[in-house]
Amino acid sequence: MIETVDQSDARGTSSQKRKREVVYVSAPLDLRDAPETFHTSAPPRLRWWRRPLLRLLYVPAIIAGMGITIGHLLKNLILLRQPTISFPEIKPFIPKRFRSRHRLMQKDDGSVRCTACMCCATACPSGCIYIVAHEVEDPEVEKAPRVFDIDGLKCVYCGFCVEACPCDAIRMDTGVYPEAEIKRGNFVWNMDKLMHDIPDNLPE
Amino acid sequence: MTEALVLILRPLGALGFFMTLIPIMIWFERKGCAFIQDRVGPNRAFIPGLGLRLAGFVHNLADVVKLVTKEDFIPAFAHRGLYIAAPMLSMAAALLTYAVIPFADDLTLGSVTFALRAVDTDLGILFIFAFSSLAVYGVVLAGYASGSKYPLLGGIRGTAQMISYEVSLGLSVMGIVLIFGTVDLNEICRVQGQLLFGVVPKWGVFLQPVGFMLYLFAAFAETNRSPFDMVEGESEIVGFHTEYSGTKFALFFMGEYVAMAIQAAVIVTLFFGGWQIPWLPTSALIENASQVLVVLLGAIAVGALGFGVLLLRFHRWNKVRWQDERKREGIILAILLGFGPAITALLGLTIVLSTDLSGSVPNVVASVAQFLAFSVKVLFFCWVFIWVRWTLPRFRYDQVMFLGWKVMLPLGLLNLVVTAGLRLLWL
Amino acid sequence: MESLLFWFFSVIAVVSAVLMVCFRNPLMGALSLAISFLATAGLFALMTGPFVAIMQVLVYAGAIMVLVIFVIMLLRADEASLDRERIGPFRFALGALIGLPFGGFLLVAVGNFGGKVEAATSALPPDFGSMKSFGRMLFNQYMYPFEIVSILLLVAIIGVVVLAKRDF
Ligand code: SF4
Ligand code: SF4
Repeated sequence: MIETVDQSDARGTSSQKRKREVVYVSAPLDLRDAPETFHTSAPPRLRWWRRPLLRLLYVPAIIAGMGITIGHLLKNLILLRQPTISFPEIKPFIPKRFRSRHRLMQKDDGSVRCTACMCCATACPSGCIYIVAHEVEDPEVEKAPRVFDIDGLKCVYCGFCVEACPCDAIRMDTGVYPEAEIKRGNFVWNMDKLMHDIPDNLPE
Repeated sequence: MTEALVLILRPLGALGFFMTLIPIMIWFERKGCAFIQDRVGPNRAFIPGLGLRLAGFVHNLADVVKLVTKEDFIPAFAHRGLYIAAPMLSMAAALLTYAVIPFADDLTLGSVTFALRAVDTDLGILFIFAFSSLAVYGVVLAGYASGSKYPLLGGIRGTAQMISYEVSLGLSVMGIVLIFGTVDLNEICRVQGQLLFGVVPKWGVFLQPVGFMLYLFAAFAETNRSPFDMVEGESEIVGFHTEYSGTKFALFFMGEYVAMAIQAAVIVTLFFGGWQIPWLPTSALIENASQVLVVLLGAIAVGALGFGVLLLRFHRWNKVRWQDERKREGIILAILLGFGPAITALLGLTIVLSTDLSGSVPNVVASVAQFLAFSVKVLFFCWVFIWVRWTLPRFRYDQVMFLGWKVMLPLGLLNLVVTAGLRLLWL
Repeated sequence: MESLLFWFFSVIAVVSAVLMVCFRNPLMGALSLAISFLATAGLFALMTGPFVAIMQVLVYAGAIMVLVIFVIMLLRADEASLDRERIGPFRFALGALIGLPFGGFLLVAVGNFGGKVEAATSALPPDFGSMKSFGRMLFNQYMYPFEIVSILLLVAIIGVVVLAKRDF
């Protein structure tokens, strides 16, 4: 962000001292477009390895850089620091609203809440939801999915399916994200997995 | 009989030394760069049953298995014969060079004296230059024979670079040759045992600082290490070994590391006193052999003990992290690498203190001490090669050429002339 | 042992020299020449001339042939880009005309040497061919030729600079 003064100053209409109007603009793309009077702090004192004469030799800068790298190395080596997460054993913190693997909600009687309206499949930008509907005995229910597959390899975790669902039957709050599998087919999650293979202690 | 044995054992020993350096350097490279970049580095491969990971060292074994079992692919457009010959040439040129590097001063056993280096010749530096200049062939042929554009580019770039820097490499050493008056590396080492102004050892760095800088840079360029890795340039062109896989690629890979280790050894020999322990010439070492042994064993004991304590700390923190067999690793390592050696060294210490060294034992002790000094220095310079690689960005190609011809060559000539003048004035 | 090595190196030197002429691929030709140089270096080393041998490796195999190969690669002089040349009787005769006298001289020289090799080596001073004696000879006995050669090289370097820098 660059502090600029009101442009009327530049036109020279008034010699009066004006109150400065500070406008914050994003940095100009081309420096030639920059207003002539913009305030920068005084050039910083160059560190010794950046002085022109010494810089010619490269050597001071190289030594300074080597110092930085060896500093990191020694810090990590002696303090046994582990700046990264040892992933499969230690899971990173997953925020509550992280869009993770889907789950299908259940009604009170344990049947699937989804009504096979196909809204999610329509909204899905990657077309990875496969639904086959069928009739059920319950006269109250018009239809229900017989097959509800999500292809986890195609899914982009956009969450549109959750937004689209009119009856809150699909959610993405399991906190589970896919890891490695042996076969591609293992990434296709069927209805059973989506309904039951979910961690406990999730909100209803 | 003994002579024949020595004749065979010397090259084998030297070969063993440099081959052992390869996995150590690869390990340095991986683990070192990881720590420099605030990562953990390789730590997954482990020996099943024991759960030993040796801080990523086991990855070397896994690499060997992988590279050997990989398909040995020859592209259709490759020139078959040259394609196969190139990695061999690269490795052979690298492996020929080590022959004249002395590991310790000449060892006298009873009445026989033999030099502790692979080939007993006084050609010294010339031998090294002659055979390291053949390393170019590997790069050129790999680039040409692959029948593909990126290797060709890499080969041409690499050749131009190596030819250019060979000039500076030779020139920067000439100052050392002028000062010490010999090209025999063992002789150079011996001279470096003297003292300069009675305080500092007469090492090449102190006599030829400019020459040392030039040699260091040229050595980086010669071994195609970053910041001069024009040959590989993995972010622009993948380099001369793009088309190689399996064992052939492994040969290139190992050739690079061997060349690096040898350059480190040459730097140590020319500029850092080689096998000299500062302020302790060979005769002093032999005279005070028992003290030397005591200090050596004591240092090993203390170092191993400290290492063991460090490993125990590692174990405490390790056993909660892994719920499989790896959780015993820390304690096994602490016993194997820390407390075991420490106890052995202490035992040796008591034996040494209670007996008198006689016969040719002091000579052997002196040689071992010098060899250890040499190895420590070489390992340090191997580490410098890696350290620089993970610190500096790569030069652009024209910058490489500029530096080689317009900065290093004139500086080298100037250094040579000034050295010659000073030598004329004072000697 | 030594005669075994001698035959080994000589066969390699001669065969690779012949191959160098026979190969149509310029790169292969250059490579066989390099191998021939290396074998010759081995022969020099056998003749107690380690310094000459190492110089042969350093200068010929390590520098000159590398440059030649570099140029071949840079020009991408493949087999396909070269004209097919036929060796007609005329060319053959011309080649023989040039080659025969040279071969004759060589034969005479070798013939003069024949059988005397053993005697010659035994009479040599102990440090024959070592760096020290070589340098001493070069800078005492052959001082002036040496300096003249270095001036020649200087002239060559200046010439290259002048040629490369067309506009002043
Ligand atoms: S998250 Fe997006 S891509 Fe994935 S299933 Fe839902 S709508 Fe489709
Ligand atoms: S999950 Fe929701 S949007 Fe998708 S078919 Fe079922 S009810 Fe319709």
